[in-house]
Amino acid sequence: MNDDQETQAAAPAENRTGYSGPALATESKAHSMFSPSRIWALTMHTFTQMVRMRVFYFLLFFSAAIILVAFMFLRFTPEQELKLLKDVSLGAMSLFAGIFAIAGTALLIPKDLEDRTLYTILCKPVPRFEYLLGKLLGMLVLIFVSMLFMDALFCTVVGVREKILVKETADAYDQELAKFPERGQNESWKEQREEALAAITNYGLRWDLQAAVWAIFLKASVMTAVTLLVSTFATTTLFTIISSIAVFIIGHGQHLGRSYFLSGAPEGGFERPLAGVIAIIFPDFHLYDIVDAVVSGEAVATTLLLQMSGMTCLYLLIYTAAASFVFSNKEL
Amino acid sequence: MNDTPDAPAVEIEHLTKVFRVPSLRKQTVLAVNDLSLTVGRGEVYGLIGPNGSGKSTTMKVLLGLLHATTGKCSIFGRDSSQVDSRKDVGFLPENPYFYKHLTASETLDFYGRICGLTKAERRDQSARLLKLVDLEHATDRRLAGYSKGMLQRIGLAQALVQNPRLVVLDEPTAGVDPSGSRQIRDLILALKEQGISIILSSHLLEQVQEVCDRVGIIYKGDLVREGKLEDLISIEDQTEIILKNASPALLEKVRALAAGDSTEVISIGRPRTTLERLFLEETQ
Amino acid sequence: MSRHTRNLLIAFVILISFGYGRMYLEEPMAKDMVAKHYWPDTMSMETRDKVGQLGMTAALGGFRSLVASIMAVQAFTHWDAGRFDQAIAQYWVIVQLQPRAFFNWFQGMQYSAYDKTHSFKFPEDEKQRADWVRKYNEAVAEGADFMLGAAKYLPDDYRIYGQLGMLHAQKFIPEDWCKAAEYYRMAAACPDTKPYYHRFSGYALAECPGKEQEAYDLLRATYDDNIRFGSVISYLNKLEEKLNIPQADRIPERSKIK
Repeated sequence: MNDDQETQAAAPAENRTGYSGPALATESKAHSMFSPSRIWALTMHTFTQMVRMRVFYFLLFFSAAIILVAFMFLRFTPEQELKLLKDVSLGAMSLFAGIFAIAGTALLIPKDLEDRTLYTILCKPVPRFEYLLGKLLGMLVLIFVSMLFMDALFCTVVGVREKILVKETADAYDQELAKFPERGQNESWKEQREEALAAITNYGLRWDLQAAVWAIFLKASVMTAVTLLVSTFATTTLFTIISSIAVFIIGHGQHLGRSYFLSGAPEGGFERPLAGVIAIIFPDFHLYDIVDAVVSGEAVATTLLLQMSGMTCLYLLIYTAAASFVFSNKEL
Repeated sequence: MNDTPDAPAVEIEHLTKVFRVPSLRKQTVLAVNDLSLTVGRGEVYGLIGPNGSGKSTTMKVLLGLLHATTGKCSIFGRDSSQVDSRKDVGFLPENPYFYKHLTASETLDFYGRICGLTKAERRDQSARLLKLVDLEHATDRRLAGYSKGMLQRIGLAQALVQNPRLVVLDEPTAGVDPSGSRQIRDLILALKEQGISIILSSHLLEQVQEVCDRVGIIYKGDLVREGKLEDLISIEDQTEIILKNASPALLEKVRALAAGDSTEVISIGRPRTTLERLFLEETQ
Repeated sequence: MSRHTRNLLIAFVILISFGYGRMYLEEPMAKDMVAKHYWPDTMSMETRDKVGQLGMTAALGGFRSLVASIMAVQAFTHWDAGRFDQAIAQYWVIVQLQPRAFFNWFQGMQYSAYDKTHSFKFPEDEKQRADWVRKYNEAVAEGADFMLGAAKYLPDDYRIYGQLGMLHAQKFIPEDWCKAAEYYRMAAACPDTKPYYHRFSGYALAECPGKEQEAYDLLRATYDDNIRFGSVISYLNKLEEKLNIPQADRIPERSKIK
């Protein structure tokens, strides 16, 4: 490979300029133990790395899936069609965000270790927690950007489908009216018409959908932090992925253990302590499950979103702190 | 800053590193045993030894990637387990791969960023270092398409990005062909001229011989010999004379002179070129 | 103890303390979410349903809604091919997955009480007729069961009682006007209800033996509120006759509907 360049590179050393570095600002500056710009550099690097690993090809599958579902013309009721579209879209978003969070994050550190790039980074004046934080934020930016894309497409498709369904339904009523003009005088017929149209809008594009998308992002963020934590002590990528998936699944049932533990069920036996252990170890992913309610047309309170976001920050903070402790003295 | 002006570039004191082997019986492996060495400012120090002798472990402890079981390392007087000691260090690991998805200039930009260089500094350093390691023609190519020698050179540029005062090179020419190897050697010499301290490990004696001021020989975790290169390799009681266009008669005279002076002639013949030199002549 | 082991212990302690502490943040949040209907209220359920709901939440993670939709598509395929029993069976699972989505229950009811009943060919032979009626009524009753199931999760949804009223007024053989009237009345009492359920309960009462006076009072009040649709007038005409309302008190309009 590159024979000519190699030969060129073998030109006599005498022709080459010697090493004479200019004075750099960093040489005079004291080293700071925390540098947002360093973290941002690591963040954007992780993001670029994932992007150039062609992870965004996944998004094409997403696009194809929701466009297919949106226009496959099942003879469903309009509400059902819209529900199906939202379920598939939000489900696919959850799935992609989850896959990115687990598979992507699980690969990051082992890959750096295997390629020895970790050495070159940690041999620069980069504290290990900054390296971890950079990886975490890089994944979060990746998930955020991909969800932004999916969300934009999703909203467009739902909006268009809703408009089409409203028009179709209104046309059907108008045709009926043309055939039976006396129905124009019938109040309950008119009410039915309004109700049918309102049902479609109710299942159409609403702000609450954005709350569901945000909840999916928050859940994926916690999953990213969990996976990063696992990968700091795991010895293989496979172990990281399998454990993280297990955490993901158990995390959705964690609230059962917690409720049981806090319910003050009679002492004795091992059930209650076991429930407590599950509640303590695993994160509560069920807290983020508002997709169902949103798809069924339930409104989402702003306070709930704030609480959810706050809990997520807490999870990220604690898990990243734990990960830094594990990683800070790890032998590489 | 606790950088003391007269502290040596590297000081390793009684370093011992024991690895635990993950198994039921608590087995251990002694990788480095009570190793002490000092690298002066501006000195080029070669750590030589067979594979698995403890060279890389010593370097990793020096760079804070591993923790010393006992003993300590310092870089310009600063404890090397502290992050700030790495401000002055550039490291080229053995067989580095780097991020294949980045181009050469992106690579240098990234390492410059994490070293806290400003945008203008990164741009200047990138241009200067790519010229230095002779990769200007491949600036915008992704590293995935780089040859081994090119990777090694971008690795060296990366190590130099923040103008470190100490450069640590682990097997810098492993797997590189002789021309690439020679190029790296020239770069090391250029760094030396600038007063940069260098510590390099290798199992190729010939290469170490060409660039190092002092050499330490490490074997099974022990530093078995250490000293100035000429002291280590010169054979005290032998002298080599190289003549050009010598006639057989002249050679006979030399032989006779030597015999008269109770000197033994060990060999007379045409000097052999090194394999490396031969390769270069043939390929140019 | 090595530094790494020490740090692992610190990390472990951090995680345990956080795990313990956050229980007291997350539990009230979870309770609030149940109260605001983001999730079904498992506390008020029967044990069997409770176990089912909790189990599914844990097993399907965040993908309940998606699984429900996929099952709905499968049910649709069954329906399209005339396999109503399979479609209905699918819907019994779907409603467990998303018990707060009315139209899942509604769709199950439709498949059962309307589509399945339509598929039964009316027998020419009179001897088979009793059997036909039994099968027909069973299917309608299963449809009603969907609505009764929905009422457990959505007790304030007028649509449920409206549909139940309609099943009893129009689908069961013979009609049960008294029950229909009761369901329409419940629909009319729900929040955000539609005004027509009040009248509908009046129409149904008119057909319920012994409730004629009640029906008359209700429909007359409707009429006096200036709601004077054809059906209101025709039922009032009939009830005035039946109840021998004095001519002076009768409404002046005469319905063309007989």
